[in-house]
Amino acid sequence: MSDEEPIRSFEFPRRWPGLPWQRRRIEEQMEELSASGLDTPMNRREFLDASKKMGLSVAATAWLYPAFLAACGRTAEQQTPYSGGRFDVGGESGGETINIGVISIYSGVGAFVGKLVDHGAVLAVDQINKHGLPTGKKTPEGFPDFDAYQKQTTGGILGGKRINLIKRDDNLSAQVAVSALQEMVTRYRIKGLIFAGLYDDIYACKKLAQQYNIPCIAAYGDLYSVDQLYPKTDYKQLFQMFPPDVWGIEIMLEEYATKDRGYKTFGYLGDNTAVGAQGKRLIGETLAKLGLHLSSAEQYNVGDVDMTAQLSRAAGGKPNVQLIWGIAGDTAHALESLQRLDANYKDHETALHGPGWHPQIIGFEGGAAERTFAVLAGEAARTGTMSYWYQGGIGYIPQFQKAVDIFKQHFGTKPTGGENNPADAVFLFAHAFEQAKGTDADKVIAALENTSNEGGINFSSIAPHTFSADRHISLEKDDMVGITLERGAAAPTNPAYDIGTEFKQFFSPGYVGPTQFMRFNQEGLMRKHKDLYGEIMLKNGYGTQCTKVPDSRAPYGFKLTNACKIH
Amino acid sequence: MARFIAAVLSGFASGGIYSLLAIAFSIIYMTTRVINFAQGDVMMVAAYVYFLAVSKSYLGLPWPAALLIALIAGAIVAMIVYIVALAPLGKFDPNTNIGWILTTLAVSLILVELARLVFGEQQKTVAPVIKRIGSKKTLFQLTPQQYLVIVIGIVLALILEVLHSKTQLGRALRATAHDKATASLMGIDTNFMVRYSFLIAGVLAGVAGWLLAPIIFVSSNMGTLVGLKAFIAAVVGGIGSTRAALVGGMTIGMVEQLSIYGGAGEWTNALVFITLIVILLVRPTGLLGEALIEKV
Repeated sequence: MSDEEPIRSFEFPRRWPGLPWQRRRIEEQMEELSASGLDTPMNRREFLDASKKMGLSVAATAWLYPAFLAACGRTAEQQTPYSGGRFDVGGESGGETINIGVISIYSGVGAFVGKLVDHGAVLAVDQINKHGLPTGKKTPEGFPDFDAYQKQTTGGILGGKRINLIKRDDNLSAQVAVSALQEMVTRYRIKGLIFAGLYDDIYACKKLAQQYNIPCIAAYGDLYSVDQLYPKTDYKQLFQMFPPDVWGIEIMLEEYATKDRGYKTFGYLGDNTAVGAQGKRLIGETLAKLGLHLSSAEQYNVGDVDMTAQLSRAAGGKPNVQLIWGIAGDTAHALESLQRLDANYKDHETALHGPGWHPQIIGFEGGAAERTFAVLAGEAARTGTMSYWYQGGIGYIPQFQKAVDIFKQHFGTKPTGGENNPADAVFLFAHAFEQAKGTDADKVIAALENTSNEGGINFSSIAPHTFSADRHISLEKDDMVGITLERGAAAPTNPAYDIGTEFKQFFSPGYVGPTQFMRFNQEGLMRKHKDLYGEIMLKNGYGTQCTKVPDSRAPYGFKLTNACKIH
Repeated sequence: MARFIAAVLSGFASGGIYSLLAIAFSIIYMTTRVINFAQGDVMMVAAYVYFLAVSKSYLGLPWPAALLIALIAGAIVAMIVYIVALAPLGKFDPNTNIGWILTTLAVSLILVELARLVFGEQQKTVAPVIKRIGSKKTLFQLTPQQYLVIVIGIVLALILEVLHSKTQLGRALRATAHDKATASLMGIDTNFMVRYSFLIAGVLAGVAGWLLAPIIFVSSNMGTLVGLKAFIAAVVGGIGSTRAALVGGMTIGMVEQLSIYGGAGEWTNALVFITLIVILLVRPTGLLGEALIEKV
């Protein structure tokens, strides 16, 4: 079953409890686990018996057993030191396919995330199954040679095995994600797992992933910011390619808001999930380091539509910056509420000195950096709304148009941004399977820890993701860029507003959407990506909005300043 | 003070939507003694139909025509809910046979999934019918659309109240609600009254969808939480009466907005449920509800 449609996950019983022979097979697997030395205070048989008394189906209890152990605060490692402490369901995936699990948000208010994941991961799987892995051939400018890759005719990995995605909806519940992981391991024997849903999913699943010894990549999940990423913990199976909130917040507040823009007062409005709680904590800590504090901290429930009351209270402190920490739809509603207060952002000067309250908006990357947000917010979202992402997946320079074309051929639409992470996660796994010469988890983890910049393993990203044995995050702080909301018809400014080379060249008139903004982090970008940033981006003006001032002494005949009224 | 007035007005606006759906819950409850858990999703379908009809990317009709289509769609979907979820159960005592809970919930889930499959995950935006009050875009921080919700919510509730207390049809409905068997003996077509109640509930859901679409984005799950809160509103007011549903809706809307005004934005949903519990403890039949005396 290739690229099957995502199925909503439920805790139990999931769906069809299975035919008798299927249930027997699961029981047999559990017997093998017991035989392999799993000796717990409540063993498998006792657990099944107790579960039957509680009326749970056999299949459901089989899936829930490890979760039950985890919930009891006992890991398999604690129980069975001599067996390696893992639920090794073992063996290769069936036949000629290798299953990779994906947990994302496919329904509800965050369903746009699932769409991004689908677009990115499905395209990557399709390309690998069709063309194999890229040979690493690059263009003279050092970019992946997409034409050469498209001409490769040997598909699959490990001698022609196809990759298959097993997709599950987290239903905006970490518990559901745990259940989905159980199912994917026991039923589909996944060899890798991509987390692309709630932050909470990976927090909730990490112990289970360790017990099953499943290599996991957080495409949209942040363990780094909460000090849960190896080597700070022993979850060696977990890797992160998602730009951590802590870096995004630090760079937006330190480099952009205070140093570049001179803002001094900050208000916060966030949702009541882990995203909001983590954002609030990290923002508070970052501001404290700068000798600043939040003038207001307000919350809302995910899905709320009217935040006027919260923002009215925030208005009392007249913050220069209003931080909004939530997903795209909620962020759009927050800006509509701001519009009702006639407090939309106008320009830098007004945000700083008034008159009235017109704060600049800095948002969570899953909200204000999404095109969905720009579409939903409409006129309420103004040019200059800021967020953050990392240097990667830039489709708006000529060198990457081929990738955009491939995407368009596949889905009939252009990428909206964010698809690159799920795509690159699939490529990372495929590369690791090849390096490991199989799907043995320990070897795959070792291979992931030895990913290199060479080899062109990433299809969509300019800057390949790399891990090492002591660094399970694929990025560095110098990779971070700003994301700014551009509108086709911005208000006239002095100096004249320049939306940047890439927009003029690639976007149709009236384009509204977020894109990279690099000026304030140019030192970091030059350190990390001198060739790319200096020669391609800076020289040609990509992502340098409204800041090019002629200067014959500067390397490319101009310098970048912060003399911009909008951002 | 302005903030407080804005919070109260917002409470009325939220309450307007809850009231409309709570009335729909009540009307169906009156004739069938069941709660239609798919009511919020009927509203969702009507909102999607309005979006398709009014959006320039699709039919691009003027809003009154689009509204008419949405109301018809609401009525049709409500009838489908009745045909699929309740009619197959035949004659049953809803107090002992609780199959209707599963069937209405199942239809609710099916509607959500169908909407997701047909319309996709992307939320849709709908332009408000009225964009300005005079020269102003907002008044006391509320948009014209929110004022429209308040006005239409109250006016419709009053019309239904009059309809059900002063007309032959209303008397027949109340007679059916009071004692179905006797009403039938008195010549009232109780089956028609059941279908009528679903029809009216569908139209009310259509109005709610039309009013709500420009305020929250149209999405497959837009009716889930709103429907749940409207059900709570119906219970808080005292299920089985239009007036009670109006009062219940306004109460829930006010609890929500005043809790946000008081700085407990993240606790609004919890406070709504706490309100329900407290009111049921103090007045088990709801604020305006009357105890039913079962004759044996």
